[in-house]
Amino acid sequence: MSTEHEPVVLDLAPPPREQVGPFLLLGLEKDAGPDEVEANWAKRLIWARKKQFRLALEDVNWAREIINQPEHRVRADAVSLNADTVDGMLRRLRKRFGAEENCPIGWHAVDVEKTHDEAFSVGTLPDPAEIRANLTMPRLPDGLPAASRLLESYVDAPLDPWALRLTPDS
Amino acid sequence: MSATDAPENGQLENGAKAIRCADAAHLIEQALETGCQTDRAIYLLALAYKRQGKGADARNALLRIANPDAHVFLQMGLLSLKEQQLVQAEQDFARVLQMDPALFAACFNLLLTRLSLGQIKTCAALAAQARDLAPSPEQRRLLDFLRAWLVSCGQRKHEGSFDLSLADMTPDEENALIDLARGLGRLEVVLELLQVLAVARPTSVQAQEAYIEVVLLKARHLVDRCEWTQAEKLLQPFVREHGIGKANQVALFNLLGCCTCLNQDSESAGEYFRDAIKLAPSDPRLQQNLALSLELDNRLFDAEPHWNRYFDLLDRHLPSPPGIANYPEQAAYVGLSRLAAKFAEKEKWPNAIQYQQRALRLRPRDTDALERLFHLYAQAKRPDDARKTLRQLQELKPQEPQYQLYELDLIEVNGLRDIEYLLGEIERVHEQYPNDARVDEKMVNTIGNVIPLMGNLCDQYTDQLNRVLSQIRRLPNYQINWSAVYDVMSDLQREFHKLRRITNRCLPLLTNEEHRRVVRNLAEHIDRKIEVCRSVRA
Repeated sequence: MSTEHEPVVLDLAPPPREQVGPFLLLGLEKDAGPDEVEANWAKRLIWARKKQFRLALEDVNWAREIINQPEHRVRADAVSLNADTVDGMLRRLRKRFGAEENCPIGWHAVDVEKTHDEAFSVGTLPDPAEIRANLTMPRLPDGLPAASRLLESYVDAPLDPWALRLTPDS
Repeated sequence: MSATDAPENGQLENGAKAIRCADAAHLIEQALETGCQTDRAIYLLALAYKRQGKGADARNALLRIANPDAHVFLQMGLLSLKEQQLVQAEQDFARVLQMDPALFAACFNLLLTRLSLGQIKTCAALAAQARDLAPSPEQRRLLDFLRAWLVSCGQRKHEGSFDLSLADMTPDEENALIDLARGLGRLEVVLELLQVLAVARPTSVQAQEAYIEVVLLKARHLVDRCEWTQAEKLLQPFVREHGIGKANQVALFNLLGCCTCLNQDSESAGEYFRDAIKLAPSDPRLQQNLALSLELDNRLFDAEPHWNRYFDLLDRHLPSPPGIANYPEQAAYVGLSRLAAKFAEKEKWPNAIQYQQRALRLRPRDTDALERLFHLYAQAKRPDDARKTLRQLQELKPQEPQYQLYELDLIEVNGLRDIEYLLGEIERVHEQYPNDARVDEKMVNTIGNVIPLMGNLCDQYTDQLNRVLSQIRRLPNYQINWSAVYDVMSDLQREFHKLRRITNRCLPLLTNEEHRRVVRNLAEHIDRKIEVCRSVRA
């Protein structure tokens, strides 16, 4: 119950849909594309069905119909109010505050990934020069003089871990 | 430590890195296939998938880990966050914090996820916990302020006071916190937070601007829901606020004007739009809003200069919807034609003609525009201009038969002779184009316009007849000039006969049943009067 000093606020009936215009009715800017039109229409359809919207379901459909017909859309533009300025101030604010549809959260979550050392204990790696020095070359037949050179170059070539193929099908 | 969306993620999108991650994933997959089924290997595989942006694969890999630890759930929480599954992310982070209460990432992420979910009440304690775990002094200081900020939100509601430490923030720290708040994505929470900050730091321009921005956004959300009264109430207190940036002030006045107008107070709306125009005089949308509000207030003539300014400002800079070519030109054409029609409704022919001429200049070969201009000239009694326009129309569409009948609109019909001429022309065109619907329509309209005139003429003659009859009845026989009576009756009978002939010619041309009924009644009335004339003469 209102107190003595509280002003009485009259809740006026909404004006006719033509006065509201299809753009405000669907919450669209006048340059909205077809995807935006469909998304906003679908959202308002749900609101209207759940009685969460002041205007009727048929008004929502009417607005979509008007906007989807280019000739009617231009005519509706001429008689519809503009909620935003031509430089799109409110649209920029929407972006800045992440208030647009399907907009990801705007803060950076802290991501801690376990380091490789924590994930894998590979132990102490041996010195490659020592290993190379300890390699004993097999006796090669004199008839194949190039085999020795080939084996040496294979041992000296750097190892590419990305080129490793561990399974037979890869 | 790295951030999910921080520069590293950007680098991951870089092709070379993505390929390396793909290679790494491939290598680990092979390792797993060859039997290395360890939790560590699976964890690394999940990270490789995550870095490639394969959220579902990463989640599946994490779910395969036999003994998941806090880090595994942390990664699951981060994946949920990326998928905007805030409720799931909150549950994951809460679990991580339970498993490892010393993990700063879990505490910080949980804090911000809860804020994004609007659970502001529980966040002050969490902010204090995160502050204790923060690795750097800068982070500790920032989280200290965040805690104070959140505590102030609760205090303001219950006690109306604030945490005094909020006043100690540097501008950079304040900026960082405002950015953090902006990123929360939940408007009610951001509004509450920024309201507290604006009141706690009244001299901070950044805090004030951020607050008015979120107020504008909230109002826009209310307008989207058609809650114009609520939006107006929200915006109203900022009207007299000084120190708001120009762009925000323009947006504020404009939005307030729209709400006021939709709340059916077009006079106040006009004032708000005027205030907005003072700050941004080159915005066509504002000029249009003002003109529309004045029109709603039945002040078409006051709206005229603003419409003209709107048309002048319509250029290629006007944002256009996709798929409609040359939108500004189309908007101007439609707007000008509409104004011409508005002035024509008020029978302000010179204004109407001026706007229609401007519309025609935009589309000189548009026959609809030419037709409208022709009718306006005809209404304004400018037959020469009308004929000139009609010639243009006939040049553009020589095969249109109804244009021949347009000429008849220029005939000033004053008497029976004019009506007879009109009917003759109609019959001629009708014979020429017997089954043309456009001719028929125009013909019916033209005759329909003539019927009231026929009725008027009939009334005039009847009136004369009645006056003569009344004198005959009133005066003694010797005072009546019978030869004069005879002459008058002959004249009247002749005129009635002419009118009767015209009704006979009209009837076959009329298709409208109502028109036919009126003409039939008129013919019966004329017949009775002819009979009276004849009897008096006899």
